[in-house]
Amino acid sequence: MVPGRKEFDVIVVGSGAAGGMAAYDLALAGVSVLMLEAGRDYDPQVETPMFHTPASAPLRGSNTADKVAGYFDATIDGGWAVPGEPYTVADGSEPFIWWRSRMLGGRTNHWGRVSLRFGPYDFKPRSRDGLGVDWPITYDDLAPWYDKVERLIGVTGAAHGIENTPDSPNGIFLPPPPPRAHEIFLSRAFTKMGMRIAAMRAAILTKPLNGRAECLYATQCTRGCSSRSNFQSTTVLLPDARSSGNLTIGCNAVVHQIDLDKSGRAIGVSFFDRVTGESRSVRGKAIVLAAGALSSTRILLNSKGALFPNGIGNSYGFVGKYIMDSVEYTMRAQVPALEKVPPQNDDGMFTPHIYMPWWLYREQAAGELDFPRGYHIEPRGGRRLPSMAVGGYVDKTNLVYGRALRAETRRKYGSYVFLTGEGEMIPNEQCYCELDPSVTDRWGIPVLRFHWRWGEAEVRQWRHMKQIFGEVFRLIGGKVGAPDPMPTGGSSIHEVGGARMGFSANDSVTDAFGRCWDVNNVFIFDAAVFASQPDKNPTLTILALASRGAARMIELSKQGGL
Amino acid sequence: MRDAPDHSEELREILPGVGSTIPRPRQVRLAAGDISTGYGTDPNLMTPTPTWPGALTIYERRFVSALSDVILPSEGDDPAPSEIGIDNFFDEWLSAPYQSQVADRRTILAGLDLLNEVSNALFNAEFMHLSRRRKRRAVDALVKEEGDGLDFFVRFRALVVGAYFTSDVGMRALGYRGNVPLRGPPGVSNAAKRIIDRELRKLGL
Repeated sequence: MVPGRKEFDVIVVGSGAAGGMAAYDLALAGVSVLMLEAGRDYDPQVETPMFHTPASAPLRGSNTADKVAGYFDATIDGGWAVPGEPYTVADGSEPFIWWRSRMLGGRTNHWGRVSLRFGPYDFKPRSRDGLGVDWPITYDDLAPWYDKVERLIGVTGAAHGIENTPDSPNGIFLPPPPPRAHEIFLSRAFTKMGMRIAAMRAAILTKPLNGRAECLYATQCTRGCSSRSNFQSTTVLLPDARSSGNLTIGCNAVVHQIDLDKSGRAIGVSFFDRVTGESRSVRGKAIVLAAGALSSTRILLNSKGALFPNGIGNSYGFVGKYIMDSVEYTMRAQVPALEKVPPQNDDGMFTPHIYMPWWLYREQAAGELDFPRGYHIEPRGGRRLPSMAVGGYVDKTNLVYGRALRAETRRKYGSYVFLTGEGEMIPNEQCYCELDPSVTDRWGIPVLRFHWRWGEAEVRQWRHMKQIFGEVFRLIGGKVGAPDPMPTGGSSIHEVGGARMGFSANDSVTDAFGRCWDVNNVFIFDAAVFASQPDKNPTLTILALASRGAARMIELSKQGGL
Repeated sequence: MRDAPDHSEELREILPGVGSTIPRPRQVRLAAGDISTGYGTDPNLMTPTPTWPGALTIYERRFVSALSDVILPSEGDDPAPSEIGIDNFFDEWLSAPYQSQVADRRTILAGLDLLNEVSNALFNAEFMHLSRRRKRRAVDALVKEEGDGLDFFVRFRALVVGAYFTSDVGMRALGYRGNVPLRGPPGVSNAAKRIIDRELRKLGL
């Protein structure tokens, strides 16, 4: 599995967005890279059940304890729980749940593909309104990396000139698909309420790109994609990185610590073979942590030594601190007017074809809202692949059967719309993780214990979402059921923070390039370094930061600094 | 107070790509030795194969088929559930080792017994031996009783409808037009756009 080579230039822990991007840039630059992935090898080109229908899956593909997001979801050996790798939540804490998969390419195989740049405001939140902390970089620092990443992976979109919603330079965006029937319908209500309708920015190809085929406008990206038409590390980054000859990948390698020499320099990592249980170590001149924000944080905490009794990077106590999640909240309505739309093919590309960026900056700045930061809105609906949920369209308030049941079910199908808000969270001191004092994983390594508490800002933002979504539904005659409660911490699977980047060692874990202050040949490229969690999904920014960080590593190495 | 099993989590739609719509776990601490008796956490997605034996008797299979055909009879070109193998669906579902399906097994098998009791009380015959009209009267009588009869009906109906309209034939009958590779996004027909416009105007938008 891992060759007996003596030492690699760089060990990259993790194969997802950050790990894949770093390995790609480093390997193509001639650096010898060992990538260690906790899960098994996985090849979407032969493993994706592209057009498989529900009837071909057990239980019609319904979610079970084994496949929590449904049978055909690409997640392997994971979900909210990973067998043998528990986590805990502290007594008195609000609930917190954590999604991990164990597969080459990590969560890039099954993520939602929404790819939004952070805007200028998002890097300087404290300067704007006094809350949270500023990033040590500006949008302008990262913009060239967003350009580079988008050119490489392919992102749809259009330029709209919307506040804090940067448009990619000419020639980068791939053509966005036209709105679906329910999106056209909803847009009228959104516009009436003062929102701008933006073309969705999705990591899905609407034109062939770099040898990858255009989307087939049919299947769910969360299954993965055998035509390489969306972004997954496994199909977009790893193949070319491997072709360079400089990348070695070891799967089923669960890294638990960075190994240090007596002077406090990293010399390699130690890991367990997930299949045999064997404990091994491997040497590298530099280490990149890209295991996922909280996994990387855990590795830091478990990497102790005389110089770092609380873990690497933790000299000032910032490792594990200020973890954040998106405020992700969905409301559903049944819309009688949409029943009139005759059956159409609503598949399109997997994501919504439109989204509504935050539109109340002015009102917020003027103090008219009782919460400080915004959210964007993603609409879903239409006639998409049926699931067993169709059985719930006619519920216990209506006891029909026979012809009436068939007619009623058909009538309602396609008339449900879902509005999902993705909101910014202010980092707060009550959201952090630490090593559990007693619980260990199957290899005896301490697991994470979470503390979580939504701040008042998030609760108010959620209330605002309910109010706005309710207003949209009222305008279109939608019928809403009992709304869901405040989302659970971690449930958006956008968990970030734990090793934030900053201006100096005494209030952060890494510098502006993800280089660990404590150990300067350790780099963190995943979302552990996020200083804020704006209303933009994290993946695109992870890719940009990883690419920028990899370039920095190469520069330092040329200068002799690594 | 009735203690009907809660299936609201499955009937709630998962929106693929929206993490917070994936049902929350019952537990997050799975020990190393937790071995699934289902298909496991890394099943073959390309060629799924059954991993648990079906447990319904032939009688039970025929019963669920007969009842399914009453709940959702054939209409026009759309076949009855018995014609698309609804008994196979129920056999797989009710034999599955997952908590939700285990609960369904109890509910459904008990409900079928109850339906037979009702049929016997009304017509001195088991449900499957009744004429189509009498089958409907038996179902109506079952539903009229609050309690277990109603819960069983609602749950059975949800399973039949869900299973039927997720079958290959059923998806089309439902109105799904997707899952076909296209050279470009499908777009919305002009006829549909006119309908959308008309409906929006009615709403004052």
